[in-house]
Amino acid sequence: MAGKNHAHATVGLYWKFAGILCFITFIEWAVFKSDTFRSNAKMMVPLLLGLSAIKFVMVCGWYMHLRYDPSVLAKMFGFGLGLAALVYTIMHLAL
Amino acid sequence: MSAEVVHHTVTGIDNRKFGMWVLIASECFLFGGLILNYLVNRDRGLVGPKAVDIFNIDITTLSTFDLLMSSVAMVLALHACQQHDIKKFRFWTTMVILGGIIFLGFQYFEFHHFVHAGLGLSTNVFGSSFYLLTGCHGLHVFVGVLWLTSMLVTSFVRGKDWFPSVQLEVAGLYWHFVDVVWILLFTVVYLFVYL
Repeated sequence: MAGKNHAHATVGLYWKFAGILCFITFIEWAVFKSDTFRSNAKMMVPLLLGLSAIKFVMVCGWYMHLRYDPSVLAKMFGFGLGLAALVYTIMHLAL
Repeated sequence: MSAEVVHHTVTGIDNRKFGMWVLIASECFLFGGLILNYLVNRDRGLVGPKAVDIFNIDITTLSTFDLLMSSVAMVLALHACQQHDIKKFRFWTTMVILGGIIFLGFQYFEFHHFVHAGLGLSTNVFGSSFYLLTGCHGLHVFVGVLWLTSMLVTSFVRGKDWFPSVQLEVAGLYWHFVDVVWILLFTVVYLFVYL
């Protein structure tokens, strides 16, 4: 909303999130390199998807300010994402 | 300080920002389709190298770090702009641009390596779908770099009293979306290579 001050995150929080995002990426890399996980897709897939989802939520929620902005924006983004996921699921089941 | 024109809208959200979110929602379809196309075709290449033969996860992890850091620089640039701190605004905007250029450099290096390894755009359907997906993302990064460069140049042309908070926030939304897409691509395309 132009012209209004939002209670956005502080600079310190942005840096903390940067550290967490890098750490998660490092964990992803380590999981990929690990023979234990590489040979066990049932463990690897949900773990990597979960880590990726955490990064996704952190960037969207705080860096893109969805957490602080009017909920209509989050709904619109969620609609786009949801529809894309639905199309993917249908195609995946059909193929 | 340049006076930013505040438009009163039905939604209460600046139209430029709202428009960017509409674009982002529609881009979800674009990348959703391209990711689906890649996942369907990645194992269907009959000739040429496969993903598992040529992907270099170490390099891709470095480029992921780079893009994540450019997102941090983006929020810091916006914060500085809102605080009317011209030096930090210009510094962090430059860092975002550099981050984007470095990412594109990584992508050029990766594509160059793949082509030398025998995977061209038309070698097989894996190559076609891979280059289409990551190339489309790279094109988005390139557009973001151009956009932010134009804002940085404008900042020097218009002087130290120009603080385009809303414009930078809209450009930032675009940049973060490009980062979010890469978070997905890093996992789905690169880390799931053995699946």
